[in-house]
Amino acid sequence: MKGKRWTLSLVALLTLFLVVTSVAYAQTTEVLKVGVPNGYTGSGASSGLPTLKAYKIQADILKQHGGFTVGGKKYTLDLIQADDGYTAAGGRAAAEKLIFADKVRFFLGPLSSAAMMGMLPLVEENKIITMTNSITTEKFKTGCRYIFQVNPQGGLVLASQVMRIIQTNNVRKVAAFSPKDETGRQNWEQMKTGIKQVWEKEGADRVKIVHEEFGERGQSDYTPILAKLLATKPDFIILGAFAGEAPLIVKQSRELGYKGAFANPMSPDPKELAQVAGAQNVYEYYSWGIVWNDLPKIDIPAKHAGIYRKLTDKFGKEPLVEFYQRYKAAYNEDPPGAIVYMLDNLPLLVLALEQANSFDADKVVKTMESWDVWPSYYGTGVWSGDKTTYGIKHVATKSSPTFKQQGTKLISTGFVMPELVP
Amino acid sequence: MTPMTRDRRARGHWRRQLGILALLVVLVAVPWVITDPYKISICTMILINVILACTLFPLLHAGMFTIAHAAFMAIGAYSSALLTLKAGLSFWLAFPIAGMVTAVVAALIGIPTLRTKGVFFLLITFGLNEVGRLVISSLNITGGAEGLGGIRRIDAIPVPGIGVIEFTSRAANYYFVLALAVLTIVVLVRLWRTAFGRAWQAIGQSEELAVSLGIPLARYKLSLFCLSCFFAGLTGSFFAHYYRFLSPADFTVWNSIYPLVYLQVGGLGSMLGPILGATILTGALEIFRAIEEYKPMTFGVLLVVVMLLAPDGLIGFPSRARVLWKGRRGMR
Amino acid sequence: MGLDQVLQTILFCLVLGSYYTLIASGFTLVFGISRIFNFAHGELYMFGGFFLYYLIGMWSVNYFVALIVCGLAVGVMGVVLERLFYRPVRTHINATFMVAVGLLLIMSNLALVLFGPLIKKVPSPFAGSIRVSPTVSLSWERVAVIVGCAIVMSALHLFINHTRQGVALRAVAQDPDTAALMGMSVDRFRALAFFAGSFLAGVAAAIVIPVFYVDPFVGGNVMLRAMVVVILGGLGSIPGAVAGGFALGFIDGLGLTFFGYPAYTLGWVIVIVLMLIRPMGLMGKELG
Repeated sequence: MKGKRWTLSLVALLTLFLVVTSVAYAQTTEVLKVGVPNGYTGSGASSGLPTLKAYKIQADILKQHGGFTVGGKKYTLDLIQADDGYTAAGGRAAAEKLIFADKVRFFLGPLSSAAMMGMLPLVEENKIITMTNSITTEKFKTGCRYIFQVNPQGGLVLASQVMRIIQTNNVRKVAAFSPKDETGRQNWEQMKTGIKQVWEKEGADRVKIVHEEFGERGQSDYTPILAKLLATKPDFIILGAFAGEAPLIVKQSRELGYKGAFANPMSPDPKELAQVAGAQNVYEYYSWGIVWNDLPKIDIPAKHAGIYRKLTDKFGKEPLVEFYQRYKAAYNEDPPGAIVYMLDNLPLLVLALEQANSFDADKVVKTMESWDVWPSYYGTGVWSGDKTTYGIKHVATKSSPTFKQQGTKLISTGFVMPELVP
Repeated sequence: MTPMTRDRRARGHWRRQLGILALLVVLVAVPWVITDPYKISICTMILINVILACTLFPLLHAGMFTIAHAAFMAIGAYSSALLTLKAGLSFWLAFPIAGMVTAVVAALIGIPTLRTKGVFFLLITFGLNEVGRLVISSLNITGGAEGLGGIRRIDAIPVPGIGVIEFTSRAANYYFVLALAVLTIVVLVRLWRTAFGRAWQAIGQSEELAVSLGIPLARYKLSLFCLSCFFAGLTGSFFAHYYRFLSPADFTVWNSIYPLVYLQVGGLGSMLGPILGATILTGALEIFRAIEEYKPMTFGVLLVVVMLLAPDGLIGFPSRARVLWKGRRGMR
Repeated sequence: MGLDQVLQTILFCLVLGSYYTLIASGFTLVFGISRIFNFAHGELYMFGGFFLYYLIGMWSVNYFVALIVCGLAVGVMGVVLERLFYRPVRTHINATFMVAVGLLLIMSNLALVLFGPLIKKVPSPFAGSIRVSPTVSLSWERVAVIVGCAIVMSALHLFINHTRQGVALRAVAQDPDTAALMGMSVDRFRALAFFAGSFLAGVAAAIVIPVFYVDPFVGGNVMLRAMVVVILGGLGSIPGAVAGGFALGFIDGLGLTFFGYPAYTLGWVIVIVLMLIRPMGLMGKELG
């Protein structure tokens, strides 16, 4: 009888062993390396470093929710940074390091249009799926299908917001002040088109563009240029993507006696704006972004509930809230405003990989292109761009939260769905 | 000279020739040994920096401390890019033309500015580099601040006996810039050993002395300046067709300062200095990628430390170390 | 262009000129005496700005006390730089340039690591503005820049011309060999020059930064402008720094108003032409 008991216990032990190891095997996660080219040194560090921090939080959230599955295996993300210095040669160097030294096949970024153009040949040759936030239309001119622009152009978003402001605030004269680079110029072009649409609807004498000005970034005194601009007596100034300089521009305009409204598609941190410009100078200031202490409620229509669940399954039932709380807990500060534009890069990549069930670039591209609608941190989005100057349906159009800033207070002004500009 | 000295000198000469040959063999073998495209790219970048540092070698010896080299490289780069893009020229035509355009511009600029010396020349070249960058970012034809893209690769060229050489691979581009580097160094070293070289050194020591020796100051300075900028322009042309995208951010004052740093760190004793300096520092910058956020600071520390220990550059270091060591032991 | 706008523009040019004069004076003082091109001068200014930010923001120090402390702290930094980094290579001109470049890289990125990349704003103790005419106004903090510049430059003039140390500095600048023969320690006076020049940088930061802001990379722009000023005014000349500072203030101010962005190119072209015609600048090479 002793022998039988021995055999039984041995079999039980073996079964236990098999069960445990198969459970353990199912739980071993693989790691997918993802490259994050951005500006990490010099003056670019102010956006590159916070963006990386945000991606790290998202990767952690993903891991806690079980990662994603491809080919039966579970994966989590390993983020590998590479400095592109916001120049073309830097972008190329960063891409080369990521692709050949780190063996990466997916990029989150870059932000700089010059870096994007510098790495374009490499992205094309090596079929690197690139979830970028650069806004240049040039990147699609060669027909590369591996690039996806995950943010609508700030200018497009703001064009819709601008139209609304013009109508509600009874604006008659618009002046524009943009940085003298690709980002600034393209943003302003988009907004100009938006304003022209108001003309078409309500007549050309309704609103006039009285002044267009371009300035160099990184200056500290814009008063001479602003004096010239304000001499045309506008009641609405559109700042075309000045970020760090915006607070000074607001302050100096107010000191020159300007009492009208401002709009900026690339706003600096609201606290910084109030601090540098002086809280008493910040009023009627419109931009788009998240009000962290008053997160907008996301309304998902029933027909999209299933798609939205794909996002919440991996990134939390209320993704924005989850992100904000984790970020604050980890870094003891609010996420900077610029993060708003990047939050969908990582989730979209992950969802596409899982749905394609493959790491093959062409399959992933096909999957992403097949989506009629996809989930976003702000609701849902679609791919667009084939009817515009982009020429390819790889540019996100998604609802974007807008706000008005009064002193240090942010007031949400609802979501804006950018209209496609023909 | 005793027979013994003559023999020793001859042996030293042959040893040097052998060393250069060995180095060339190693350099040519690089793409065969190193297959990682990323590492080949780094080697290509090292060679670009070597050429730039070497073209500055004679200028510094002649007393012309210039921070405008990036602007001349830009002239070559944009000329070559526009000639192939807009005028439809083949690279093999645009390349030499770009070099000559750069030399002509260098002459036009050199005539009024080479009269000044020392810190004034430094400041003028600083200003010129800035003006160049601002002009590039303002003109539409150069793409403005957004940059100029869509530049094609070096065109394939049929070579009799070998066939058609394509430039789609990194190795091919590496060999091109290696050939350019060898050409540049050979030309400059050869010239340095002639009467021209001695004249330029004399000018660097003392312009008054040079004039009293009968050296036509303006002509010699100008021709050296044009020659150096010619090679910078050629390098720019290669740069344009290798990176295939140009933006003013690639030609700032820093891009002029870095080759000077490579040259100074390597040492001004011989052409080996800039070669060594460019190789070591470019390599160091790549190694520092691992500590990305601290890369510029670490580079700065490295630079300061090297300069404090070896103000004449690394190739002068062994003899300086010997002097320091001897000094410490009380021998004078 | 109305009279109002002319007046407004002139006021801005005066503010710009004061700013440029302040940042260039320390740089030119150091060069005049030690013949060292301290490229890291802008970085010293930047550190001064951060010191001010922490003094006022964190420890609520009185503004005027903070101003002096900034000057002293940055002055000490300058002396340290001279003693540790510039003195060992003072005979090698090229190596000095490289050390300056290295210091610039180290200091700006050290600031990035220590203080973070975001811009920091220092509140000015002078709130409100003065109305010069119904449509022309100037904020008090900008007035403070003009007044501050006047005070600092007067003090500097007194120091250079009417104190023993100042006169000694001039002597060392004019003829280091004779000064050494007379028993003056050239080394000590070089250190003093660095202290004075860096002190000026710190004070300049304390006066100007409340009007704008500070981040780890403002040093570069400051250096660019300071170089143009000393070219215009003459290297090593304090009156030159004043003349050059205001000249550039008017060139930049008027240029930006009438031409906008291309004004910077114009500024450089003017400077280059001037260098070719009169390399020693408006005021020549002498100090004092």
